[in-house]
Amino acid sequence: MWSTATSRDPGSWHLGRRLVLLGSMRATPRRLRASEWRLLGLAAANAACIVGFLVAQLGADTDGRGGYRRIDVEAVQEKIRSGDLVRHEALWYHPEESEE
Amino acid sequence: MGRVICDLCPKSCSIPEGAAGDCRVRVNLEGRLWATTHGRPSAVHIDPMEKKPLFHFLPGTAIFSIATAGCNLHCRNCQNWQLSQRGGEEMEMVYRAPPEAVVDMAVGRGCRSIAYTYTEPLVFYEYVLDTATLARERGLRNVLVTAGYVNREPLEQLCRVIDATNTDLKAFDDRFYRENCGASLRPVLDGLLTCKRLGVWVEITNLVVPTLNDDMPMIRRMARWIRDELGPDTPLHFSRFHPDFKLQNLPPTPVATMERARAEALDVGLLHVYMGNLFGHEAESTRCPRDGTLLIRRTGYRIVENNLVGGQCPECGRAVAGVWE
Repeated sequence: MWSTATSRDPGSWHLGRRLVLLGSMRATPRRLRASEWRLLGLAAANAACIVGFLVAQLGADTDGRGGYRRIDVEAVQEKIRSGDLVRHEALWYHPEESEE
Repeated sequence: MGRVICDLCPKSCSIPEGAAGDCRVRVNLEGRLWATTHGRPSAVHIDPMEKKPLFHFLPGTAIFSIATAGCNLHCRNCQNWQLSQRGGEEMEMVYRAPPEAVVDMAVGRGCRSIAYTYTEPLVFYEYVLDTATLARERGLRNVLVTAGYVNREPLEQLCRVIDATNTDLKAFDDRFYRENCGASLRPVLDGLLTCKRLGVWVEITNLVVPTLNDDMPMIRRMARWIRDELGPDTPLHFSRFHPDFKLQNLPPTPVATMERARAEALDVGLLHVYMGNLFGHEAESTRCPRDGTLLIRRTGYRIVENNLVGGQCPECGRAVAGVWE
């Protein structure tokens, strides 16, 4: 059957070529090389990162809760000491524990 | 441990010790939340009322204007990003102006009102509330120039001492708010309804950004919402975008786009639709909605002619909505 690869008809030639390749894959099963495992691992890690990012974005949209910003606390304290900023207690907040 | 949740705006930031909310100026130190810029403005000016812009509120008067650092939105086109996208500790210029000093300065310089403006005043909520309360006692009016992204209860409390607002309705599109501003549309609409319900004079600004929010059917929907929910005599200001901050890649809004937006809003039934950042355009002036009589002619922030008589058209006597005295 694989002899069709020698046919002059272009369609049958391609079909035959595919069969030859399929046949060779079946004929030579082998273990993946270390470099191929590394490549697969990299691709899997990449996919996991993308999925994680998308899930995090989805969560941020649905729970409506904002985040926070890390600040230079020393700079803030220094500005408070110098009087450029103040400790004026805010209205409209509560400790997180009271929610639970 | 010591984490707090800010209830001021819909972001409900969950802030650990040693951090600030998304606005950068409400800081958690030792488990308590501090409004660190209270009485510490970084911008203090006297402006014409028309700059806010408020066209139907004490026209032609000077308004004492203050702002601190910080903002709870992060608009890619922000025109005051040096002020809004920084924390108080990052500002080079900080004035020491507690509420009493602000009111004294406003009175001393002949201003009839105080504006909380330039950046988002709701992030320095306590400063606004204290200053506005004192200002009221001294016979001054208070103006909030805001993006309106705030929870209902804090806004209701503040509205007791606020006389007028220009609220920036950035687009009638939640996706625009999320992608361009880090916020959402619904709370802004709710805030407008709250202001209207509580008797605050409301004007609206819509910055028309090419390709991002210049879709005419959307502008039509926005105008229809304003007409139905706030009333057809609510002034709407279309403002021309110019490239700034993270949107340097877009051109200024074409004048033709501005004029089409205005035509759509007028067609829907809004009575006072203006165009800003277009000095000298006819659409800066106020006309009588009934007979078209020129009531107030403006050039830029300057009033050239004011023909209103007791808030009415001198020709047909139609009352024009606004706070004129």
